[in-house]
Amino acid sequence: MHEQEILTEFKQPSTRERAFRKLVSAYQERVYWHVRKIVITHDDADDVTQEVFIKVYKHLDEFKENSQLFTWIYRIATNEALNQLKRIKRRTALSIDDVHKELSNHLTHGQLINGDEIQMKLQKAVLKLPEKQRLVFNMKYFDDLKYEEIAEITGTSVGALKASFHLAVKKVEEELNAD
Amino acid sequence: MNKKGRHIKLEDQPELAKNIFEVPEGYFDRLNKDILEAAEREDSTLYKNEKLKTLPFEVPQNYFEELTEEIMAKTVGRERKVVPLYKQSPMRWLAVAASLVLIASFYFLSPKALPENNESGLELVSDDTIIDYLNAQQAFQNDIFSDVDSFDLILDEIIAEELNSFADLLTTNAELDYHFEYFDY
Repeated sequence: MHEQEILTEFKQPSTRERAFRKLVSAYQERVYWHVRKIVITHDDADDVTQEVFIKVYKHLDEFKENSQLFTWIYRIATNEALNQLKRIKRRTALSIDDVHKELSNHLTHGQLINGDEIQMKLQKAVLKLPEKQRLVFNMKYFDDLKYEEIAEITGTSVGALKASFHLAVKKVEEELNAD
Repeated sequence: MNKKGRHIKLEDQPELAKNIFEVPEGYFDRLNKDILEAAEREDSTLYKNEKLKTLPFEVPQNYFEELTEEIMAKTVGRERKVVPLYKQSPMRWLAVAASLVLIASFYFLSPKALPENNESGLELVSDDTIIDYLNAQQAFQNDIFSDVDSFDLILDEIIAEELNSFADLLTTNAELDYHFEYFDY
């Protein structure tokens, strides 16, 4: 369904619920996987995904349509996922690096994780990246988003994103090729 | 030879050499970069192994079907259930009042811990002190139940603190220099 149709239907009280259901069906998986790559555990990804759509529901009337609907939702998802990492950090009194180590540990021993050696190695390498590079890497490599779209989501320039992605690829490949 | 017997010589028709094909605007500016990027990808471990693009994560069975319903219940469903205060049944208010009375009576009537010698201990305390204590407790209870707005203030403070620490995180963590405008949606 076209984004514009969803927005138009959402504004009408009689079609609001139907429009929102369509929106959730259309974007929930993309949002979930985007968030899951950041927070790693299913439970956190589940919480964050629900929170994202609750925020979307509350604020959709104020959406100014200066960007695509999906980049706006991705932006909320990115913020919420980063906030969740911050909450974990506060809850566990760990530094952000230690949180990443914990997440890396979860990749080895956690539930609902099933990958072969090279896939796990890649995820662990991505976890070692600084936050900014990690976000860009996920959105470019796994989600195949255009730089222009990532720029909209993160509010940064295409040039900076290209540099970040280039650095991220270099570091990840070094990790993959080590040993 | 054409129909009229006129022979067309290419060398006499320079306009025929004109390129009739067009490319999108800025195509050649991008082409060089695209070729370099494609060449880089050819060499890249990440792009050589397609399996790497598959995530090693799983979700419980029927997760996404249930997720849709859960989200709908927490958004549209919750909004549908909101009944303005003035329309709410008086029975509900009676139930709330009864619960408060029950909680208060439980507090006042429940036996307090006794000293080890099994005396009530109250004999040692003057009546005035007991009355003061009960009055203070009553005032405290009244504060809690009447000044609900203070909860909102406390919650507002917590939210403000959260937002400030998020802003601090953005300013202190060089890796987060995306200038996220957190409430820009």
